[in-house]
Amino acid sequence: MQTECFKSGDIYHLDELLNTAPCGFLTFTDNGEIIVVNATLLQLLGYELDELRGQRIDSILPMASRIFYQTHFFPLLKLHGKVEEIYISLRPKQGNTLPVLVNAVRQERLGVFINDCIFVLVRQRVRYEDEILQAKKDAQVAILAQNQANAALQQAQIALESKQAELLELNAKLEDQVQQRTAQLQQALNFESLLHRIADKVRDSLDEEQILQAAVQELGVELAIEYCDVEIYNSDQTQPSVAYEYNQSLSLAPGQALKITSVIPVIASVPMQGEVLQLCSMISDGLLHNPKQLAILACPIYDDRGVLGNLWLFRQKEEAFSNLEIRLVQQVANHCAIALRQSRLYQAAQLQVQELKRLNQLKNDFLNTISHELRTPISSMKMALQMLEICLLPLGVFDQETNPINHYFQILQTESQQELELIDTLLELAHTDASTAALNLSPIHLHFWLPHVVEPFIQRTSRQEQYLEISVQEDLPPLMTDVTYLGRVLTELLQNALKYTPPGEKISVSACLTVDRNHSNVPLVRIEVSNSGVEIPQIEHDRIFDKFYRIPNNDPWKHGGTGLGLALVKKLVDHMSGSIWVESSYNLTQFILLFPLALE
Amino acid sequence: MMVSNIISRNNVTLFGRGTQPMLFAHGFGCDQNMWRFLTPAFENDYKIVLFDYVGSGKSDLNAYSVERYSELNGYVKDVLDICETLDLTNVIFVGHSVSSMIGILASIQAPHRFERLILIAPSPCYINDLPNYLGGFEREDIEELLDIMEKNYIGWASFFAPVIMKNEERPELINELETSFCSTDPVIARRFGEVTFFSDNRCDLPKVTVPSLILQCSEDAIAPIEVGHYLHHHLPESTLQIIKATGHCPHMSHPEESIDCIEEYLTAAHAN
Repeated sequence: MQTECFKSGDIYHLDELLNTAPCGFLTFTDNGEIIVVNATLLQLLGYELDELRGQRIDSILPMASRIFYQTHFFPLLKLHGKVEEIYISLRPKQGNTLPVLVNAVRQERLGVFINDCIFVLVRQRVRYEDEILQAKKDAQVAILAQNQANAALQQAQIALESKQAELLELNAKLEDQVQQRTAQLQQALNFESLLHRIADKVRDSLDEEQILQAAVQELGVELAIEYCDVEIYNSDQTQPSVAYEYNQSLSLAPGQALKITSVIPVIASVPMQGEVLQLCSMISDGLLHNPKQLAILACPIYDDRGVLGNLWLFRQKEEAFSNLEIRLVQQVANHCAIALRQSRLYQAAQLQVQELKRLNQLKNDFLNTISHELRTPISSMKMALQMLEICLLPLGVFDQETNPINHYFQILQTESQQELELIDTLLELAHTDASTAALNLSPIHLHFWLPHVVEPFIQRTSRQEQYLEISVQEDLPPLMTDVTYLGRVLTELLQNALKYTPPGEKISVSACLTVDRNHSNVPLVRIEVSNSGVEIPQIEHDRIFDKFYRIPNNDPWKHGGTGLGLALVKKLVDHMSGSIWVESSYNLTQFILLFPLALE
Repeated sequence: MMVSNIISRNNVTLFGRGTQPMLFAHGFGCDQNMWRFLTPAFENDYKIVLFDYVGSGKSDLNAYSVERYSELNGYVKDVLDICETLDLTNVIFVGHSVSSMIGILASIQAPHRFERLILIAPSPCYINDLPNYLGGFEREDIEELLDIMEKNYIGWASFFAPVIMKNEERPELINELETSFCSTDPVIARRFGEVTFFSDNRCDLPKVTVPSLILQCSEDAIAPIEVGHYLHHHLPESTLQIIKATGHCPHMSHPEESIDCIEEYLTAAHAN
């Protein structure tokens, strides 16, 4: 190349050409000392040659380029002997930095390594590259954003898929649970209705046999049982015997239960203690056509008074009894216990009823006999007295008060009359006491009926100078009661009043409607028999209803009496579901009766 | 990590006839090749250990993670991984520029592994913190440097590398490209630049217990002489040696003087 240059024209000197070539040229030592700078570069930087020669290369480099020179440019140049197309900036004496591309080569000259560099100004290219760089950065940002979005999307999709899988799994689980629950519910419903059917039987029937047979039948079908029985203990609770059974495969006659207990003696006593027992055992020959292993459930039938029997259930051993089934069997056992106890109570009650009927008949017979035996002689005596009176009347013995025959005759007549009354009242009381006969109910209009009751007494009251009055509430509804008993009560009370009321005083009978404030305002009829002029001391109020009790020293008319009248009254009132008590104050004595307006 | 993985990850090179390890750590912008003017002087007496940081030279670029190498500690881990894998003790650590700081941090974390630190053109902080500290640079200077690096990668790596890589008929071009710049990945190089120049490790200096030699160039465009004095003042058991060499790479520009200083220091140290 060099030789060709010289050939083409001697006037061209390479040094001169290099000095003004359209690129900067600079040589520096490893120390960084500038040795040669061409005119182009000097002009570019605005320096004179003397200003740069001997200076360090750092002096024409801005800070960043100095670092780059130290960290990249020089190490590369030193290591590889050349660098190409390095971009750096140069710092001119004045003005802005100059972007340049540098090629450098390192070579030995005269025993020393020097580094030759050419600089090409790249102002336009740098702008272009800036644009490209910016575009690249923008693109990178966009790509990054897109990658991030993609990653987020992918993650979301993964999350979604896993959530979907979870959801499916959850759904499957739920479905399983629902199915299980439905099956459980169905079973519970079946059990419930089974229990209902048995409970209905227990309610509707007192027939032990029918109920227990139904129980084993129901259990056997519902629980798919091979064999099921109820065994009932004898009276001393030692020997159970099979009473009712449901049989699919076993052949077992009633009374064969002993064989079970002999096969499994260990468990025989356990149900006696009131616990449910589940076990699996081999049932041996004689109980089965083919010996096989079965799951066995033994459930005691017991109540608070002890064990009545056992429920035995035998099933294929693969199908052990679940808690729900055990509970069902226990409940059925409870129903069986109720049925057994109920049936036994019923039988006992029936026996008692028959015994009571017999006793009642005896008592009635006795009363009839007594009544006959007591009354007959007195009646005969009374009849004899009347006949005697007829015989004596013509003799004039009754005309003279002082005649002793008259006197004794009167005593006989009075005493026999009183004896008859006493016997009558006593019999009536005894009869009422023992009576279980129902009341003969009918509606009574007290307006009409009371005057009728009072009428027989009017004559006596006027004779004794007593005033008698009746008052009945106008709109009083009819009273439903036993008219005979009520008549007897009022007559007794009126007789009492007539007995104890002094002359000039008043006796009154009244009736009105009231309500029972203690029992939801049930309508009541209040009947009062009262008299003025006498008081009963507070202390006597309860005693006067006792049998044979008479208030001491208080008989102004000397009527006498049996002392049974008020006792009978109380008994009759009680029998009519009424109540009676006495109030006495301010010179007034009231017997108050309360009856329910309508008896059930 | 498996032994072989660390060895290939950091492209570890072992040679030399000595037993005491001498671990050379390259600076920002270069790789283990930068030590080739220095190592011949020591390979007779020491076991020479060279390596490339992850993201530099022939290291495994796949091992690079932005999290790990976003602070100097990631590079410290590279040094300690190598020490652990090779079970190195009594190490004479030789670090250039930013590797001086990496060595200092490694010696704080694992003081039992290191015997001496040789710090070539070190700086605990490149950015000025006036009026108390002169690092030599303002933040804008570093931004501009990153810009220059970026523009150079346009020309060298990003655009042409993929095309050339596919050109199997001319494999020598690939070699040339690989050796042209020590890191072929502009993103990694930029991140290393940021980590290097924006780090401030001044507060770590007093924690150092391993004795050190500071090789400070008389005229260093990157680490001013004030930085050398600052380091000497704050580093316990440090020796400051100001050498005649100028620039930032005395081990390349003036290997003989660098070797003399190191040998002199080590001889004195071993004599004690």
